[in-house]
Amino acid sequence: MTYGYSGKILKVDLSTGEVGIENLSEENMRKYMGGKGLVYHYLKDSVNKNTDPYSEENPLYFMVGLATGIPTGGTSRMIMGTKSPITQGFGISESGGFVGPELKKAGWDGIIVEGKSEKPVYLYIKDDKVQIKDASHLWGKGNGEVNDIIKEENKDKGIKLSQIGQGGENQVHYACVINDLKHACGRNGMGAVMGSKKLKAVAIKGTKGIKFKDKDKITEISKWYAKYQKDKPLSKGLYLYGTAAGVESLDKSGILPTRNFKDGSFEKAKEISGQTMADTILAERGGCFACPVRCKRVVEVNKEDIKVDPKFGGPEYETIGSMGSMCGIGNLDVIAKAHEMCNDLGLDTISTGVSISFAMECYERGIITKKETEGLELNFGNEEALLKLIKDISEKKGLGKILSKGVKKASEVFGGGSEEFAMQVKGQELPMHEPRGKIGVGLGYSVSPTGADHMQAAHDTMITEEGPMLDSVKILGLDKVADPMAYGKDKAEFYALMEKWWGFLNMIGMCDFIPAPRGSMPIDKFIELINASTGWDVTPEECMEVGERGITAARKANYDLGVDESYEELPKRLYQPLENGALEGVSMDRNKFIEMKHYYYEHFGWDEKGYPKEETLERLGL
Amino acid sequence: MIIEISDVFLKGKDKESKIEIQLNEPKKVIEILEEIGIENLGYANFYLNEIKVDKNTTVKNQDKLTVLPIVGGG
Repeated sequence: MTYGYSGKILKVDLSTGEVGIENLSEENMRKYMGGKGLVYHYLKDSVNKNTDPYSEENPLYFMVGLATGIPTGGTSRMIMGTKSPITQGFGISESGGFVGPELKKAGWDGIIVEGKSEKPVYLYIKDDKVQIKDASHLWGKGNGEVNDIIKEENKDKGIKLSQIGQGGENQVHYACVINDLKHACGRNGMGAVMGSKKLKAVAIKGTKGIKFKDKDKITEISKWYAKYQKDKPLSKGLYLYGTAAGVESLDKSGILPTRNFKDGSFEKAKEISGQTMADTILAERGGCFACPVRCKRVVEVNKEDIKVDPKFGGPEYETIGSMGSMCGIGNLDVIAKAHEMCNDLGLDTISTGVSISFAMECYERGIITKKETEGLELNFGNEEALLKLIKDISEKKGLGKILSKGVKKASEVFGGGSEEFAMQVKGQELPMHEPRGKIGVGLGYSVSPTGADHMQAAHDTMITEEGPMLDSVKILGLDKVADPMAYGKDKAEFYALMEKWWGFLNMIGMCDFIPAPRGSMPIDKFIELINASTGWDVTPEECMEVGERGITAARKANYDLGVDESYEELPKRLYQPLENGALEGVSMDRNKFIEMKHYYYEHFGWDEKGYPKEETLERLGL
Repeated sequence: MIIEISDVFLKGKDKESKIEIQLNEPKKVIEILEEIGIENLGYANFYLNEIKVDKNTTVKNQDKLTVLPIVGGG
């Protein structure tokens, strides 16, 4: 008997139509605790350097973690994995919402999708009943329409859905998987791989529930947390203003990515802030499974010239940055429309916005002209151009076809020195966090196994002085504050410790916004919850070791796939000065950065080229 | 002086997000905010006349102080 997980993974081969079960041992569950670890466990033997991400040899994973489905808040995560078409390496992308808990309630710890269907299909899972259904009538349609049709034809409005739009069908490299129209496994091209398999959607209904070892304790902690978090600033900020609560802070600090990272301050920052959203287009504060924080935004615009449907939720900070300040657009209505289009078409808003921002800079510099843009005036701030290009990218039409492969590939086509400001690492576009004011985030962009990623570790602007933020993580062994602008060994260690912790959360299926330091739940209380669910005796030290195992496993997988240290270069622009804002004139120091990276390798027991040493692999059971 | 405080740090309805006070002598950011009863300042960023400062920076009566939530990422 297992508690907190079922020990069963569903296996579906779309080439043969076979459906089976993969048993998951307690030993492996304890070793990896779900998510990224389980993806590594299965992916390492399935793909190699030569595997084409769009071939039938590349599996696609939908995994949950030990925390997923505990009714407390933050326990909503579903973790996808594959060989990424963007990085050609170990691909991972996570999402909140309801799909993960529903899959777990159906009795599964994950789904492994293998092979490739000849015709469009969707997967229908109702507990143990699994069917591969025809989706020919759904192909070519957007996520909003398909969501309605699948619920209607299965006569169940409560079905939870992971879907791809036209972006995934057309294999836009950064096509994403949209969950229940509002939540995204946004990064690493999960939607493109799903599209290559002709898998339009996964529809899930779970009625079995999850068996917990100590249900009373879970209820007690859940009730306590719902009350406790209400007045805590970290939760309250998310509730009131969503993830965009910090737009004005970032702007005043000179670290709001603006106009393709040329600038650190945007003159219309206030107009696109979470505060302005709350005063204007916010229709509702939404949330994920069982979560009292409710940081998700639901927006509605109903004007003569622009309408935005609330069924697609609303823009997160990343979307506000990538479609707003990065493209020079200070109109929340337009940003909300761009968000709606991306969720309907199934495009990652970060990569889409950064790609368009990159094209805007190329146009303003004369590297591309109206010939390439087909007559479009592609200056920063052009709202119509933004919306047109989103559609063109999803259809791989005109300039959109070039941008559909991301800025790295686009810079190879455009030339003219544009690779210097192609804001990507490992082919993945930078999220909306400025490394010139957060050196640790720069380290994260560089060493992240999935390419530039802001969710690998808590940011170095969080714990800058003695006080409650530092106190909240002392249990993890962190006892020093971080100067956001510092390099060196201390910074490498700060980042590594925070990466192990968030790495653990990402494996176990927990939102980073609930436990400390980014969230208000004390870490010991969260670990108590995991033990109440499983009946285990997990300690903070074990959590950190599991996080470390995930990080080292992902690194090993990447190097085995040929994605090594040479893929860790930051864009040249980051070594050039910011052109405005509080950090005007500030640039990164490459020598100090490389030195810090090697301290980071050392911390993890990797060699000077960043490959895990044999004793490290042995210690972690890899 | 003018103090602008994010709603995140305001508990009841007895405080306004924009407060004007008379400062007779220079004081530290933290002293001023504690005196007017603002809590949880370990989770705040402070900006004096639009420039980021720390809690021990000295403030004068003609200054404008802004208190915003910490920048965390995600």
